[in-house]
Amino acid sequence: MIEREKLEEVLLFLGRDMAKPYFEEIRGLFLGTGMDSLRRIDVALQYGDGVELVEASHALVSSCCVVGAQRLLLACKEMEDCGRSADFTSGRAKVAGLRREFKEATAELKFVIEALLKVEGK
Amino acid sequence: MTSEGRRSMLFGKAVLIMDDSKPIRLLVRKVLESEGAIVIEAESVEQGLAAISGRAPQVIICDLHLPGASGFDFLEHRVETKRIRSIPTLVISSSNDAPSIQRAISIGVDDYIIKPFTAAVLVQKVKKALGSRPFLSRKIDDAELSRIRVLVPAEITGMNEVGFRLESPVRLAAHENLAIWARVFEENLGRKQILTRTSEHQGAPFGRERYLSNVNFIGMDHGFGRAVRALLGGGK
Repeated sequence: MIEREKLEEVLLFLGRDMAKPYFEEIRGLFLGTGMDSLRRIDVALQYGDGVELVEASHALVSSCCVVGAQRLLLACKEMEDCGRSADFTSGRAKVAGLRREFKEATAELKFVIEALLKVEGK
Repeated sequence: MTSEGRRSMLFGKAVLIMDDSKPIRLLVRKVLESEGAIVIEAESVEQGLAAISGRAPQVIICDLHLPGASGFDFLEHRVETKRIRSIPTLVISSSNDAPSIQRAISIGVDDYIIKPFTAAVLVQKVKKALGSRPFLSRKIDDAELSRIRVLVPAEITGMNEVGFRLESPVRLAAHENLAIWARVFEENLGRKQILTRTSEHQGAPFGRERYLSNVNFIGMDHGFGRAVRALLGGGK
């Protein structure tokens, strides 16, 4: 679910010395902005706010692009579509899956980053 | 410096990134800074315009989906605004639908980067945008030219708010300090001589024993940039 090649390319481009702090920062941002987006998505679904649902889902799409979280990205795009069509029933049905994907992506991101830096450090 | 130890053509170039996503801004900043660029971050069009009110960047990267004014609003504003009209601009977006791309291109963007993108593609597109319009300048008339003298045997054949285009039999090194005596500046800015730097060396001569160099104002204070723009008729 995390595209290892995406992070690997950044590692090769920046070099280990620059990539290591970048990875630490991007992991923190992914977690922080992701949690914020999920909270906003919940509120948008609760109040039936389609515009906010699109905005919040879109914010998470950009984070996914940076770390290569493919499955989460697709889930976010589906949620964006729900916002655009004001289909909050589908949105509410999908939100648990979105949270699960985010949790898994976060855990895998940590694992992939550690593995990449370990290999590079040898 | 690049990994090969050569100086990148992005070295010293100011790049504005307007994107509301912190992770995207961080990635763009890290990648372009690794090439020596100076990255200015903004999370909205309003913030971006405020950030460049003092000194115009050499490249603008703009997301389409932004809070408040959208990327399209910015692109339209750019076309109507003399001081930023000529700055190469790239759009960065997760929208890969043809109408968005066509609309952006019709408003005059130089290139379109679809998220997710790789570091290599980002750098390549920014370099291409810089290279395709290395020195968009207003033609300065003979009267103005006669009032500017460079302390090397050279002719200034173009000038804009980011610097001069210099044609010279002297092969200038990139980033070489260069003294310019300019009465046009003395009259308008109260300076008899300015010390500025050449930018990316163009390599081969463009004509018989003549070389083309760009001399930019990087490092000058904001007041100077504003004054030069006013001098060139670009407004504030």
